[in-house]
Amino acid sequence: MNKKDTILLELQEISPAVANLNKGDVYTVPFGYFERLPTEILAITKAENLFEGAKERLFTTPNGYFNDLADNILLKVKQSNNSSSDIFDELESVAPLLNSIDKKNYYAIPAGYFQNLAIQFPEKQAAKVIAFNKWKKWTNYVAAAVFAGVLAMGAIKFIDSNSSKSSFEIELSKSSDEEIKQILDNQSSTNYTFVGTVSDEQDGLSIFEGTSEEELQQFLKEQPEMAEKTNKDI
Amino acid sequence: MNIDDKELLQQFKEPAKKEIAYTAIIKKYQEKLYWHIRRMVIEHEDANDVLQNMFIKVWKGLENFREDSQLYTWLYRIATNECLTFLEQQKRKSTVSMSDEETGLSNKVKADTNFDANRLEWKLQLAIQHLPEKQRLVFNLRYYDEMPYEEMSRVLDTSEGALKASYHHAAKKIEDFILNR
Repeated sequence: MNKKDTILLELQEISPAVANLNKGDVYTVPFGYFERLPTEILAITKAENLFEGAKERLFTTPNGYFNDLADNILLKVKQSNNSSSDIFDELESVAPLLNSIDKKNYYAIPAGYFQNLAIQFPEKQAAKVIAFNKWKKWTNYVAAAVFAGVLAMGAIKFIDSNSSKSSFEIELSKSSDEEIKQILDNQSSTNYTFVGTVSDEQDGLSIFEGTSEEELQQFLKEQPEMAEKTNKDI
Repeated sequence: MNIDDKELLQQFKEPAKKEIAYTAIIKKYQEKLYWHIRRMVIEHEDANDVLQNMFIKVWKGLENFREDSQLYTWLYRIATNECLTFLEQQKRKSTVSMSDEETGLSNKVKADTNFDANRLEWKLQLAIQHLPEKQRLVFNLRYYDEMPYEEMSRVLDTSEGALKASYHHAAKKIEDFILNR
């Protein structure tokens, strides 16, 4: 009996169920793995041989370098841990619950986001050129000129009226009271409606010349205001 | 300043190496800045927009960066300002009142595909959205980015004392929210 059969019989005595299981491998290996394996192992070995050759000390180190190395590294480790420890202690005193929460970033990000991140600069657009309509440009100039002209005319008229009024006032102030009276006296009296003025007694009475006393009395009755004046004059 | 950052800034100033340096800066800081922005705006699309705008500003402004602070402080400052500008624009576009602002952000948190109301980590996110904007920033920078107050004061242009007080209040409010809701 060969070894294989011996082992199989032994197993059947221990556990028939196990003995009857399919012995095939369930694990898979990459395609072509074993074909490539020797070449790869050889390459690794060669590389190590190269490093073996380079083990000769070509570089020097400062005196006592390795004596202080451990302390220096430990100091740097403590310094780098300090901020974390400070922050932990700080939070422990304020809100210890938060120290127990995992700080890992849980928000979802698209796969490969950081590997493919590229900054997209905005494209520079050429400045828009707006062409003026020449005709529109000229009509604008004309309209502006007309408006300016109207303003100027108005201003001139305003100034003139002011200056004429003031010149009259200036001339008036130069004239004496006598001159002003003379001017007013020389004004025609066409608007007056009464018969005549009685400048003196003689002139007043002369108009009644040739009229009888009875006719005069009758006249005076009809003209009461003349009666008053006549009585005064007489 | 970090030696790598100094070298990157030097390379950025050389025309032949400018784009390489810029790409290196993006790759170095993209994740930190992205998550800083994402925790404020919640939705990925919004975070991507803000991140893009932020890096465009970096491209335009990096040549004039005075190196009076760390490069990452300067980057965080730009990212923070872009976040605040974005949130301000959202407020103006939206018709919701201030009191509903937190509800809007909470809804965005709940809309995330990974959201699980039973997990403490998601309750924490909901609690954070109930903080005022500045307090949210302070809490995130200290709690997630573990930023020293000295650096944070340069990022947020606020005194260290005010930041400490703000962080303490924020942590208390969050704890209260988680325990009582």
